[in-house]
Amino acid sequence: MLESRDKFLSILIASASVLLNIFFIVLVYPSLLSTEGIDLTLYRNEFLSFIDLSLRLDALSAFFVMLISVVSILATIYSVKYADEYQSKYSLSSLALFTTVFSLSMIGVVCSDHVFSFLVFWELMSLSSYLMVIYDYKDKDNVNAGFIYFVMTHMATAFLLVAFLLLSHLSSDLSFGALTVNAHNLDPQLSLIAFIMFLVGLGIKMGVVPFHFWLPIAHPAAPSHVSALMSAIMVKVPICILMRVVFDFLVPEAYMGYSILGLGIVSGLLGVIYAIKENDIKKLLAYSTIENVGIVLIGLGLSIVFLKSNNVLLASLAFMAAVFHIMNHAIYKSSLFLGAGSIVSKCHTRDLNKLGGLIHLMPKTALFFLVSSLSIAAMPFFNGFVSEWLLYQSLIRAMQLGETSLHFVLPIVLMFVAMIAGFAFVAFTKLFAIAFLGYARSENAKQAQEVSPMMWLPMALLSFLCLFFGLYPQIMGDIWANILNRFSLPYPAGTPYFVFPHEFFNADPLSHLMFNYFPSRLILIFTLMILIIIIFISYFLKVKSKRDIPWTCGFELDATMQYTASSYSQPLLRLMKNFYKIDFAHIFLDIYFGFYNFCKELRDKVHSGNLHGYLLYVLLALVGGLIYARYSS
Amino acid sequence: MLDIHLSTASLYLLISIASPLILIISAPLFAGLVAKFRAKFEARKGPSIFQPYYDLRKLLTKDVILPESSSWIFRVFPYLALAITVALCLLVPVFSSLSIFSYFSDLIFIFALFVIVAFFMVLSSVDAGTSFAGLGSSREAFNVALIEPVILLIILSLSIEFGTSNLFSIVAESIHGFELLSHPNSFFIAIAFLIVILVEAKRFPVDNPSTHLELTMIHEALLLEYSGKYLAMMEYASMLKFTILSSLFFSLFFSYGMVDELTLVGLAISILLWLVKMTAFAFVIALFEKSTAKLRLFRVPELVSFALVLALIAVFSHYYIKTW
Repeated sequence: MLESRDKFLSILIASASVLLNIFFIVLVYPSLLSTEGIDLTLYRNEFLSFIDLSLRLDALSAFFVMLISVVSILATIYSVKYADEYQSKYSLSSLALFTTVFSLSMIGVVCSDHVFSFLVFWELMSLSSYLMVIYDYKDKDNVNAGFIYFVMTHMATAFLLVAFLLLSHLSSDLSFGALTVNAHNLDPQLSLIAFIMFLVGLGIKMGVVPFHFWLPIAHPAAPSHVSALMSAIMVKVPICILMRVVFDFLVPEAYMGYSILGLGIVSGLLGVIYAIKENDIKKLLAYSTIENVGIVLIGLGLSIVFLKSNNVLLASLAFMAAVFHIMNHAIYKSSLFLGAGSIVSKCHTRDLNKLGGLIHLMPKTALFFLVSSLSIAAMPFFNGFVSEWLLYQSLIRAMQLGETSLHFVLPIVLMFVAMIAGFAFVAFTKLFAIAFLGYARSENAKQAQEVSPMMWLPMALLSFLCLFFGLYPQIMGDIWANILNRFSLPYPAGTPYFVFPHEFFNADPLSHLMFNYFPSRLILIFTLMILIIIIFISYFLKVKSKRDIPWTCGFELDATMQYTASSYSQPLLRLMKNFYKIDFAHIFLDIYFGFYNFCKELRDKVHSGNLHGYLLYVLLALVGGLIYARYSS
Repeated sequence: MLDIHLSTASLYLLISIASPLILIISAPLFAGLVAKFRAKFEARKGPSIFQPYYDLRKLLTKDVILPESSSWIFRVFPYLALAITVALCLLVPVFSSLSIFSYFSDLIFIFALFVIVAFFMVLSSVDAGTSFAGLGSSREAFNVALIEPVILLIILSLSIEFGTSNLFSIVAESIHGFELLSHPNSFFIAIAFLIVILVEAKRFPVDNPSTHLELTMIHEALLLEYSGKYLAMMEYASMLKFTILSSLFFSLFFSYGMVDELTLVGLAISILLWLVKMTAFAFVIALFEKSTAKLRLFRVPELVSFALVLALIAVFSHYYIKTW
């Protein structure tokens, strides 16, 4: 009785959340295309002026709100059936409530227009996600994961507090508008320190290396739809804030661009290198999130660097690549996490080595998982390729037009981005191949079943979006133009990458020497034509087919003869083995405890317990104070 | 623009359709030529150069055995891999720098299409559920991961030199000569590209296409469980990939003989020269195969790093060596 009431309440909250998100989508849609922002003040206190909950809807926040709302709606629909496995153990209505608060608070963070409102919504976001990470608290690992997450997220908040305090010392008005106005009056050293504080604080939340170690622990611990929200959206919200910080609150400088670029490369590479090692589905996806955040930061860093080199068109191209990648990653990563959730809910294991052959038992999940894997590995015809391609184009163009100092950096960056893409290929072929193909490696996988339509329909929609944006990327053109406009960057209209050229019969290929068109649709059309021809031909080949067990050198066929997850990635693991010897969490713990122990020993020496020693301290302080007073005038 | 002379337009269309068709028809011929030259080096008579055609035709008539654990992926992906490889032929300049598809042939996209074909081949092989299947997939994925940076750096170097990553524009700029080979950075890029061909088309020293031993197979391991028409499609896709890559090598680095005007005589000469060039390339590949030993899998990164360093030097040297 209590359970069904709980379930009813959870469905009520979920429906309310979906309706609210649909309302938000409709509300912000005009702002995506308009250049004026809409201001909304939720609460302002007359006497304490720093208490101000005001929101502002401009092009960037409208874009993020759309992203958050769409992914939230799909995750909520998914969770209605997914949460059934928690029904007897925990309260479903609490999960629905926390999820709703989580997505609303993320919307609040990206829209906030005042430091106070930002901090309130940021804390709300951290707390609600913490509550969801420890939702399955009967498993001690999840509680530990929650603790690590709680500590790291509050460290991030601490750094952000310091950063905002540094920025606000010029005026008592803490609204983002005032901070933007004051940006030019900031001392460069102050700007540097504030930037470092922002980068560390936001970096912890984004999951950049070396602050990333909480992400592969916390994201898998949460229920899968929450993991989807966290990986797809929550790590992007700090990127939105970082864009505001660099372009609005501080004057963009070259060192900012290079540091973001460096962090992006390191995160991208190390994220994917660690992803290849993982045999736990959700940990692999979490490390892949770190990798994709790295790619977005590479785009953002490049755009700042190009801006300072006075190549505004290139800056806008790189910025567009970064924003496009944010959207693309949100789409396919949420689909992958929902798929992982389906696997976990039916097979009751997260270990890849226990899965296999799921494509026969869960065909729809497998199909949409395949489409998402193709997208995340940046394969052509899907949306992942478009953002990677834009990043490559910005790097290639920069080599032709940029300044000399960039000529050494950019080929190295290009090399690293290509390495990241190559390793992602290995990681995701491994994930799909071991989980879905071949024979089932354990009883868990043998008894799996297809999930209910409410669970695979969101994945279907997301996969469709992957294909759609891969073939029609220019649909978002006006939205990108508006977002770029908000940051005073021009739309790179001189490079009609996604437009179908009108001239087909042109006998002079030298005339279009500068442009590269995006041939996805054309090649898809030809591929389909050729496919039809081949199918036609093969129809006339009257051959029989039968199923039989494959030859296994005379031994009895056993599912353990297949490659395991570790063996699949073994060549690359062996090549990269030195990277796996680094343990980031212990590095930080060692630094922290080293400092702590040093302070403790110092304190023990100073607090000697000897009265005469203490009297000496008093005398020294008095004499020192008198000397200081005498000689400083 | 609309008053194009009819014969010019039809010649244009002819070239655009003829060059992919010639690639498609002659792909097994070059595989046969390589096999023939290899046999000659071993002082054997060797199979006929048309043997791959006979093999493919034989395979099409054989029954198909599907592995027990295979799914629709095993049956569908050979079609997709073949269709994409054939669609790729449209984008590669073989005889001339003129084509109705010249706008669309972006180098990054072409190599990305090779990677998606590799993705399909890797997944379809694991579907069979045997050890060799996983072996082939794992090694193939390893190779793809290693060769990606080299490919991108090659594209970068070519783009810097010519100001675009459109393949037809690059060829149009460098047509009529050995210009490319006379710049030192182009020389490095050519060697790096040769190594890319060896890795992508899985020839010596990365893979031994004539054995089916665990130690030496990547390509064969991918195709081990295939039979009948599926095997024909996958084998043919590999042969076509090798032909496209070799043809690409010549378009970029030895484009002597390619035409940029629409004359039938020029086209005919260009086709003949292309056949000669490809035969010479088959000879060189066979010679290389017979004179080196196959690299252990874990030594392949050393070869690829060599290519990577060459490509990096080529890119950096654009800014040091200005005139030649």
